[in-house]
Amino acid sequence: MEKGFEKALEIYSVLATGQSISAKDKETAELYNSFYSDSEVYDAVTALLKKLNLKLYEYNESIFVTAGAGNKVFGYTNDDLKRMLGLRLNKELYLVYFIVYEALLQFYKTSDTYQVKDYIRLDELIEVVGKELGRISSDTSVYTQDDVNDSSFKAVALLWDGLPPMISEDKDRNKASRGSRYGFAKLTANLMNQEGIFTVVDDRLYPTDRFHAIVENYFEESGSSIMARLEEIKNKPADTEEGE
Amino acid sequence: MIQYTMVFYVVLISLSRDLMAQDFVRCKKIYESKCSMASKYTLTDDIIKNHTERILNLRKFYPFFTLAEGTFSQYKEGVFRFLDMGYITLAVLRYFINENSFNDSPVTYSGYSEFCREMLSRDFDVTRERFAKDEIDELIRYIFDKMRNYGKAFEFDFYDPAERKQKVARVRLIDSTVRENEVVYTITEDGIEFYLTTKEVRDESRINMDQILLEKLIKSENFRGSIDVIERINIEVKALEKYREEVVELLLSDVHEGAKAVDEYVERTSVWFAEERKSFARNRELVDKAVARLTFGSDAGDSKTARDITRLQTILKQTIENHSNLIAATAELSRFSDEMIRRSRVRSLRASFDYESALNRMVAEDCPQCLAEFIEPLLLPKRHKSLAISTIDNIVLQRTAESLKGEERKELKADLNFKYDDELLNESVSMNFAKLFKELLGRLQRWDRVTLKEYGAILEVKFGMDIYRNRDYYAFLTHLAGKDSYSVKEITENSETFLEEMVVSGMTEDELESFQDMAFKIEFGNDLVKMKLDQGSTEEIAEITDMTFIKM
Repeated sequence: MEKGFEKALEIYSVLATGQSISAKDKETAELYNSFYSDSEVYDAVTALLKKLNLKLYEYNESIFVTAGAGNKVFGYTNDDLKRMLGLRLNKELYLVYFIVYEALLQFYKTSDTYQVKDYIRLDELIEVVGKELGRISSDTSVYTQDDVNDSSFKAVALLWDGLPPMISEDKDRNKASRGSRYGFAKLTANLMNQEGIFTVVDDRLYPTDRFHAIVENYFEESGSSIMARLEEIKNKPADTEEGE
Repeated sequence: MIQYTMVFYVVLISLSRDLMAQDFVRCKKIYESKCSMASKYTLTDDIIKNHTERILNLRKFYPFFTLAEGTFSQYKEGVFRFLDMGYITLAVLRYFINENSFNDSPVTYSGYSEFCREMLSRDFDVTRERFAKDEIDELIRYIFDKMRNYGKAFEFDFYDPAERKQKVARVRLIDSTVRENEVVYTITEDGIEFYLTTKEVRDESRINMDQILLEKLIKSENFRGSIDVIERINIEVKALEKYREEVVELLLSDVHEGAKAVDEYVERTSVWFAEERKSFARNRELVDKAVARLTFGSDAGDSKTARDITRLQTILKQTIENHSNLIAATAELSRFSDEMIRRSRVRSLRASFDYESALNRMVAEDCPQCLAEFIEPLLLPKRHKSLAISTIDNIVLQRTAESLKGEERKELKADLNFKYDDELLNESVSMNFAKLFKELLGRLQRWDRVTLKEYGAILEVKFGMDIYRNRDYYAFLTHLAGKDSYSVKEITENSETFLEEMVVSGMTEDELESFQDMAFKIEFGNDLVKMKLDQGSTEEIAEITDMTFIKM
């Protein structure tokens, strides 16, 4: 096997397991250097990733891959995520999505305007989620049974509204769960931590380089196709609920 | 002639009068029926179309009456029946407004608890002398839970005749949130609105209404009452300021919606502000006069009144300043809105992705599932295979299900002993050749000379009649006839023909050793030997030239 291709495979195997390759990391610095200094390696890696429908981004002397949206091999389905998070209903998953999106908005209003702050506290996130859900769901003061079951923002807002802020006033007894707003936020924070987009320390969410890399580049690049796909998704029925 | 003409006109006029009268009656009937239809239409329209709106206006009163009715009748077997939950509700809401709106801080449970304890002791004589501390603590918690409806919104069902659907109206008075790991409470907008509408008429500037009242109070020299009214005006000014802040926030997040909200806000308040300003000026004048009277007048002796007037003057001054700031900020709001619209236009030309607009679009299309498009790229590539839900069901329900048996894991290695069909055939042919050759050598060891006929008979005895149907037998003889003589030693060391090769590979080393000294030659005769003994058989009979094998 050619040496360049062998190195490219090594880089791919690191990236595909979810790790980043960074010039600042002793273990991967050599791979980072060969990726940028050896055109053969660079071409092989990019060709390989392109074939697998993975996208590569650089930020702060580190490279990351993302499967993007709707990737059938490396992407997650709604059911995968529900299983991963221990959720049962679609609207619960949408609430988690919404919390992640709100966390994103705390740092980026647009892909080119980073609001410089080191972290966001979990309670701030909970407050902003409540406020935004209140704003966007047209009017939660009146609802019908359809609204509760529907895949709508109103259903998400009603779900949030019906949750207690915490299960217990004792901080240590509040775990990630579906039982409270804090629990949901914690559940989402754990997901974001696990997926390497935020580092969660002491209920504070610090954005990672991976987060910056994807938020600043991926959507800017794929924005128009995403918007086109929104139309398709809207017309597609949502995944089946389990035992609702 | 003239007379005829006149008569004709008279007849004509009287006729036309009759006709007009008839028309008028008909028109009147139509008009009346139309009026009645219109009024009926308006009536039905008003009943059906505006019902939901009316219920929504009513809903803010619902918690109050739910709370006021029977909250204490069942509690602790009615020991606290003498408490008025209606009063307590309004008092607690006022406390929340004070903390949230004036002091700009959320309420903690301990803050509320302190306020409630003081109120219960002051207004209902719920003191430590009459009740145990635990009982009072429990009562305070009970009141709080009731007002929060145990964390849920107050809900009541109603029928929407326009949509022909059963709906649920909901309202909260107090909301809770987590701040720095502590649960804090705030009064909701519904709560504020309810509290304020208990005294004034909505959709009018409450500030203006209060001003009129204030004017009356100052004129009647009720300065204490005036101070209360000004405090209420302050609440209104604060509420408008909060409203303005919300509009600004909306403008920052969504320019289009924000611009609409700005227009609405400016339109609503601009009419009020002019009136309010005039009223403030008038009231200030009145207060100034009162102060002047206080200084130079004869009735300046009442120090309490003097204190009230001075306080009134100070807080009125403060309120006017707040009000002026609000007006200035509102004027600024329009400019700010224009600037935001301009920036939004510039931004839209740049190739960046606008996350807020994307969210607004998803919201406008009410598509929460679309959020997945933005979350999935943030996740790491999926590395693990997972089981389908149906498989998990099977695991739980059917332990012996076929699907669960799975596939047996086998270590697959390259089978070095694998033989292809032709190799297998070769092997069997070589075995057969070797057997035939061994038989010949064995016979030659004893007899020194063997004819083909004898050889065939021997084979027939050993292997049966099937030998004649064995193709290898004929092939053996054909190949054997290829050479005149054979030496076992020679063919072991150096196989010259295909037959020799096959024979050597089909015999063991021991066998080869035992025959190593054997050698024979073949003498070919002229006769043909029939290879089948059973002459009656219908099968084809092979004929082979006679051969004699002679030991050397």
